[in-house]
Amino acid sequence: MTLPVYSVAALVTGALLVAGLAGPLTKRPRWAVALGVVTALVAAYFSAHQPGTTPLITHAAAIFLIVALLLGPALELHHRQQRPEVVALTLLAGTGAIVLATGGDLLQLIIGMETLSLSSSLLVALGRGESAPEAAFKYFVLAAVSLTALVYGLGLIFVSTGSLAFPSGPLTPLLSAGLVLMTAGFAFELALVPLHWGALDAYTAAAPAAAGAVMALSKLGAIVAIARLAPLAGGEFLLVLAMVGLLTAVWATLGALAQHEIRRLLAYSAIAHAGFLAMAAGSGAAGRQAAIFYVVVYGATAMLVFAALAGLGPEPIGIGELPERLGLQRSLALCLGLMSLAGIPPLPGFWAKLALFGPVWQALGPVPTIIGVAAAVAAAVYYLKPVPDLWGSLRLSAPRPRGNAGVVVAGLVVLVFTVLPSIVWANIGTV
Amino acid sequence: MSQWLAWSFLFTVPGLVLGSTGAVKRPGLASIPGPIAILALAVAWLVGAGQPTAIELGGWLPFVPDGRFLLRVDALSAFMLGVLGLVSACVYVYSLGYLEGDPGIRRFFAFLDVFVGAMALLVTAGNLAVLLIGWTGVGMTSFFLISFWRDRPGTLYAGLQAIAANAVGDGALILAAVVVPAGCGDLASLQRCTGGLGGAPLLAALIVVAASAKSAQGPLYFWLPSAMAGPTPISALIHAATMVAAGVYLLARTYPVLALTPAAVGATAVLGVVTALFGAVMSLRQTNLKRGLAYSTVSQLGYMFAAIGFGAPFAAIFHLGSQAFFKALLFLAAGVVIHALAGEEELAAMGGLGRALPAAMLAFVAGSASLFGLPLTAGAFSKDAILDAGFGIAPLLAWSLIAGALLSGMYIGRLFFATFYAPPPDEPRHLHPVSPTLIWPLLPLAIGSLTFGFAQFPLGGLGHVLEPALGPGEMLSLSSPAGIVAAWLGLLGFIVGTRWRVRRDEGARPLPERYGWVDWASSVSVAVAEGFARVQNGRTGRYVLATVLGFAAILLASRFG
Amino acid sequence: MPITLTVLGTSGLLFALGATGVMLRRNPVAVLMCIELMLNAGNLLLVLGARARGNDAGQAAALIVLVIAAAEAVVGLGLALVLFRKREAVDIDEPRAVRG
Repeated sequence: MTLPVYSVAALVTGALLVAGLAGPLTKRPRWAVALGVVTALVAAYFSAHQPGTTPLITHAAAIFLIVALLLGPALELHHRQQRPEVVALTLLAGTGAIVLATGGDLLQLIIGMETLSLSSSLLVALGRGESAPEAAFKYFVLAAVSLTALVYGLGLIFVSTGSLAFPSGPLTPLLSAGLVLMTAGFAFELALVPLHWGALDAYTAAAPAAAGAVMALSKLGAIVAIARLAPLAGGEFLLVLAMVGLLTAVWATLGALAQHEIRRLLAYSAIAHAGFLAMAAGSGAAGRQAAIFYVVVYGATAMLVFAALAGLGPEPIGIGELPERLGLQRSLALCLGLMSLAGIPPLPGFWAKLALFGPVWQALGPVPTIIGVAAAVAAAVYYLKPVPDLWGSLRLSAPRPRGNAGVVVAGLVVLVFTVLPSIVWANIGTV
Repeated sequence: MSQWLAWSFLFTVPGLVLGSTGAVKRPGLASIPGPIAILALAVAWLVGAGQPTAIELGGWLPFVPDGRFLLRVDALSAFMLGVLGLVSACVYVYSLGYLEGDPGIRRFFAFLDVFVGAMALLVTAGNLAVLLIGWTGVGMTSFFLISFWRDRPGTLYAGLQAIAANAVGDGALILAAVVVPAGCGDLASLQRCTGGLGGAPLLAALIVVAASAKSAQGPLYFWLPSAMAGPTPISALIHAATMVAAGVYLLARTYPVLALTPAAVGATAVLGVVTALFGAVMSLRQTNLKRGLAYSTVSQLGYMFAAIGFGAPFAAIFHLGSQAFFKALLFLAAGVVIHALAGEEELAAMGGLGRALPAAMLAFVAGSASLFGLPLTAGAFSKDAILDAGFGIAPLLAWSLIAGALLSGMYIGRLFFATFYAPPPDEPRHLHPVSPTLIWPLLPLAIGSLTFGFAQFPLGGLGHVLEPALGPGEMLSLSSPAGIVAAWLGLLGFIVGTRWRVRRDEGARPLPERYGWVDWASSVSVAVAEGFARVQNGRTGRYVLATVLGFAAILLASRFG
Repeated sequence: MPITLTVLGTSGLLFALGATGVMLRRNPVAVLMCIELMLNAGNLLLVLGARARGNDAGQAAALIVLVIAAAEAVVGLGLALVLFRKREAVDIDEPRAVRG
């Protein structure tokens, strides 16, 4: 896996361009969005044509970016001047995720992670409402603490091996400690228990458009980085990773059961899915492949769900209020997304679960798999609870908040993954 | 022709599109050709001795052991499609009248179309992956249809109960699909897929659990009576004739795998018999007409499970066909009564309707006769087949089923009398007119309930047709002692049942039934959940502490784990 | 190698001090300072490791980490400012609106 240099360059250039032209672009926010979308497309194009890379990561990131940018008007900002900044930050977050996933040596991974974390914190902070700055600060502090673990881990590895590259030699205690620390640092980005606190609050309080982007990109970058790094730390660590994943899945599923507000429910759900990702990543080579499939498919579904909720205002949205507040298109999108999260075939969330549990069974045995399956199917209860009311209230005349292009794109992507999951699977390559 | 039949899961798509987009003015009309097409093609296949065929599209799901899109049409799937087509055609026509004027009628028919498609996919599935799609699909549409009436309290709770039970079954089936060795998953050769961890017993156990969840057997029965919160046509189609029978279908289809583990087969027999008796007893205690019929369904499904346990998958499928006819008939007849009484389902409010609703009364008689096993009816023959098989394997269990025949007669007699001939309540009662679309569909189902048995007796036609899939079918005779005893007991029970008065002061039980233990389970889990949520107390300092300690814990775990 | 032990010891001590501070301090600026301390503990490992292993990449990495830390400080202080601007107590445990 090599860094798609031209794509990264394109994204950074686009971000700088938007930031530099922030003045004139403030009055023409659609141009800023257009510029951002073009940048993402250019980046995707470059990665498809650069030899030696698997473009899946970049393409997935580009899709997430495009949906997030199209939802820009729904970002509920304090000041209009912030709109170009949001575009630039989103592009930089995408860059960070790509670098984190595909970086060539350990330092590049850290640079990518920090770019992603800082951009995410700012994106979370830019929403309207009282709770956005609070959530952003919490997320930031925990990101900073994780960074210290990353840097210290890097230092330990460097002292052991004398190089910043991915270590390949025999495992000394120092080296393994360094690898564990670094992987744990990335586990924060993935939002695993007991490091998930800030992410939970960030996903809740951010504007849904931003929350979706932050969530999808961070999981994409983090899981690939973990998948590349964790095996180097040895078999026992993979087991620890998988067990942490199981704990996360159970913890978050239980927490979600108590939620009455839709965005917090989805935040807990994101943590639960992070747990499943970690279980897969700890389950051997087949598991790592399944994890990458899962994260791409899950990211698309998460974008769809958050896109459906975008632009409804910063106050909490109770689950019972959803039918009144969502128009036809968003209701359908939310139903589709919730059913995919619940793992209903033929939606892609189901494919992801199928892909996941085979390797988990092989690697971890029956008990963790059964617990994992139980958590996955039990979650269906709270995902599906709002759906009959949404179906029942489908009306063509309800008010329609803006930003529908993003919903449509996200919906199309999910439908493509429904029918042709092999598109993603075939392109995973070896990790 | 087989090729067409394999794609039958798509037959309701045109109706779905035309109906839900409003292209066809009258709701539901566009959807009627779908099930009729399925029925016609299936019958043509069966009587024309069509050739088994398979459709295979490789490489569809590369991440499961057997990820082909595999459809297979053989006698068993054609039979199931025939049942599906017939009952759904009747229910579609019936629903045109039953739901007339309901604001959600387009949504109703859309869900129905998706259900029929999913059920067709389930029975034509060639491997576990495709089966899972149909399996979960019918569960989902069942949930949406149970909770169809959004303005009535409790329908969502009933639906969630169905989801909960379904989740157990789906989980078991997912595990079955992923734990088999690589390349394995084809339903026709599942018995060769026993190399993985756990082997044949595990696979059999998972299949039995999945089937029990779908067919409301054993501890997972609870969702079926609650599912009566949905409209009556749904109770007839999904929760009597087709979806709940999918568990039996699965057991019959995978019988060679089950047969490798005698303990699983024995457990299925015991489970079936216990549930059969339990359902019958519970039906006697119901004050709600639909609830009484629902427990009857639980009981009859127990008979089918028992048949599987007795090593007679043919008898199980035969009874599946009989039950589809008579139970759907009973529900639709009950629906006529409920519709006439503007939604009233409590037995205490019924009585004396025999003269006012003669068609419904006759239909109910026909269905009851088949249910309790009046000689020459379909139910008599299929029950006879089960009992014959049972006496060969486990006489004690077979005698229990015969006792069950008495109970069956009793509960259906009680329901019949209370609905049609008991003294009506004192307050004057206005009966809504019943449109012909509610009456005509009763006829094919009544004919089937009374004559379906002749498909097997005396020439064994059905058995021959199904033999390639299920093994030889029982030859039936009119003089088998078990059958005669069961038939007389059934008749006796029916007569006794008509003497059973429903106490008027018992009062109505609120819909859905609130089971003590389900409530307890859900309040415990909510309490635990709130505990977890409280840990997230919003204090950044606490978060930081936990994070640092978390890093330390991970480090330590990997050193000593 | 004795150098390695000294390096590890010193940086470990710094890291532990920073970690203790981050867990115990309530003032946001203090927390950020402790985080900087922990980052510099890692930096120390990089710089001295570069010397011990003879690979200057470590020093380059340390410089990059310093830049990252600076960027982080900017963002962190900015966020802290926005959050605590209108509050009486400058205490990270105070803002508790998002919870549950």
